[in-house]
Amino acid sequence: MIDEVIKNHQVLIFAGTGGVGKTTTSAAVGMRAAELGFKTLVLTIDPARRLVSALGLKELNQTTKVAEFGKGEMFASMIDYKSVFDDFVRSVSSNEKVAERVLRNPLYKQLSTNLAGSQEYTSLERLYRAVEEEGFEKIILDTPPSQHAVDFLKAPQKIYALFDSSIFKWFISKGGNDPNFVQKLFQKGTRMALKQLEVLTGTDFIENLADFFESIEELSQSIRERSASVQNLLSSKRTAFVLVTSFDETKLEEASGFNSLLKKYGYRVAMTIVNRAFPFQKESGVRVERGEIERLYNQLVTYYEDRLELAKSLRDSQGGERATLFVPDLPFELNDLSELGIMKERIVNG
Amino acid sequence: MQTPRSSEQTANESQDARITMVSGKGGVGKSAVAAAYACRYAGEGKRTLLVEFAEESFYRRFFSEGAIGFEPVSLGPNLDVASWDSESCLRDYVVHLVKLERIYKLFFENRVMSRFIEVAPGLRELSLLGKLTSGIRKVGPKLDYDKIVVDSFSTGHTLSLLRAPSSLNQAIQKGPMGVQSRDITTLIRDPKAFEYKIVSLPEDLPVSEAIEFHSALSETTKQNPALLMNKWLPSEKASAQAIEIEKSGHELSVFAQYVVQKNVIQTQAMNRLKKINRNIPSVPLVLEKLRGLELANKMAESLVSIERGVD
Repeated sequence: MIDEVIKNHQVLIFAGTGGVGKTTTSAAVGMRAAELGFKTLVLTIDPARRLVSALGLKELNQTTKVAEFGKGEMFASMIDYKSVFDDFVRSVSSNEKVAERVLRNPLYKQLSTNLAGSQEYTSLERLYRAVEEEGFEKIILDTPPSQHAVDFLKAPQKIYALFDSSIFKWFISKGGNDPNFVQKLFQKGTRMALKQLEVLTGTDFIENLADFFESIEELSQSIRERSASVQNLLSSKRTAFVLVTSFDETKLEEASGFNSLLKKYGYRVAMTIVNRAFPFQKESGVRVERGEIERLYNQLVTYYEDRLELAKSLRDSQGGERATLFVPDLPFELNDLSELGIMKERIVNG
Repeated sequence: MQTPRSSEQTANESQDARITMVSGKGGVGKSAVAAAYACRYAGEGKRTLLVEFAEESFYRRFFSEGAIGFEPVSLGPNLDVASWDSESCLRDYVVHLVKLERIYKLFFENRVMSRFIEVAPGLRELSLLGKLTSGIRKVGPKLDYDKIVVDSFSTGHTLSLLRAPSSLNQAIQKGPMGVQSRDITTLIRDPKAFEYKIVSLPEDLPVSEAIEFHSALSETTKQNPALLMNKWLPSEKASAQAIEIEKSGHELSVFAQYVVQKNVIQTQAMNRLKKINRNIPSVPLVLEKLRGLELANKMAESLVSIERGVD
């Protein structure tokens, strides 16, 4: 199942809520892609120390070669949000001076975190660069662990919409344009609102914010274009989503909702991986009478069966058994590449 | 300031702390644990507000209560629940401060305000913390509860939330928000105002993140946050038996092996946390078919019995 998904797409985006094993799963699939002979890049988000050392990643934003499998190679890189956003500003600025005005603004640091959904947008921007510039046959993107997986999808639209918004227009004074009636109203309102804001926040803040928006304005066209390109990348045939969830009621419900949303927006969901599935075949008959082991076993069976209905309905809405993998919850520790390999085997043999 | 030293350390668990912030790695079950604490305090007779910081409500589904929103709704005796997003908190603040709801509505409504919150640095955080501490600071609409339990964001986001007021101070020196941000910075470090709970799972990666988070949170709050284990598989008894069965080639021997391994991992995870704080409560994985308030109350039982016990 996973091999076909890898072969049929250039970009695989691993999406899902936090705590479902996205980072480990995406690294394991990256390993498989390299095993199949492809030059593969795994873009990871804030992985835990163990995974960092297992993959040999030492510095943020450095692409590291993790392993070789004959012709195939596995590379990995951690995404450094700050530098990705700085690079982005530079790449969409017409010249260095324009870029510096933005980068030097005292509010830029916090603004660049809030702006456009931060991690979500910069992961996409990093992906975009990897696709356009870096010559990998396969790119695996691990997404940020948002509370709601949909945050990720909204990122490009948020940035695009920002340059369309009235708030932006408050601060930009365009000399020489003939304001229509609505704009006139706005300008009057702007003065009143600014007065309120000054009372609330103090003058420096407003000045810095105004300056920031004025400097951003020069970039607005390029930013719009970039957002559109990123959006196209997400929707293209060479990109697919892999939905990752786990055998937990809340997470299964989230995955279902996210799945519907992906379909609604026309994104391709190639596969769903459900981690932490019950690892045993249900056995019949009574063994150890009233034993603790049997008691715990029966309790766990009930617990999983409870959630199995949810998992099955997610699977059925998702193309059935051909496209959904239940990965058993077998205890293991991720200390090095060989253990990542164990995870990979479970996914391949699913 | 208490510098984290060694395993002699116990967490700041002041009975007086008005606000309990619950956080942890994404997916460890913060929301359920926060609900459990709220049930515990309500059961002790304290007027309690359970608050989730969320753009979209989790508790509406968890408690099957569609009415949960910005204004608190009652879930039972002594227990109210609310869902706060930063835009509503800011509106609350501005309307109260400005006292001109007409003007507010005209120029700050909806689309425009939410954009502004998105781009203004720290405004989102200050709005949430401002609302949360408004009872203690005696400003704004009434918020007099004995206890407020917060289902906060996950680790990184909670850190930036708590750090925002002090970093904001530099950008906003004057005005009510400047003063407010200084007051909030002080309160965050005051054990009579705030206490912190970090939720982990009995597994390697969540424990690593919990330990890192504990260090960062201690630094920011100058307090020692409590650590606790969620979804602890109640397998100790079964494990003792499992060791025999594993070897016997019995039909359940594969399962027995699973139980033994799980137990080893759980114990290792617990030992790592115990190096930070002596007392680590553990909330068992609830295997019965319980939901919502019943589930939270069941989890609260183990909070009471464990936290009272000698570690």
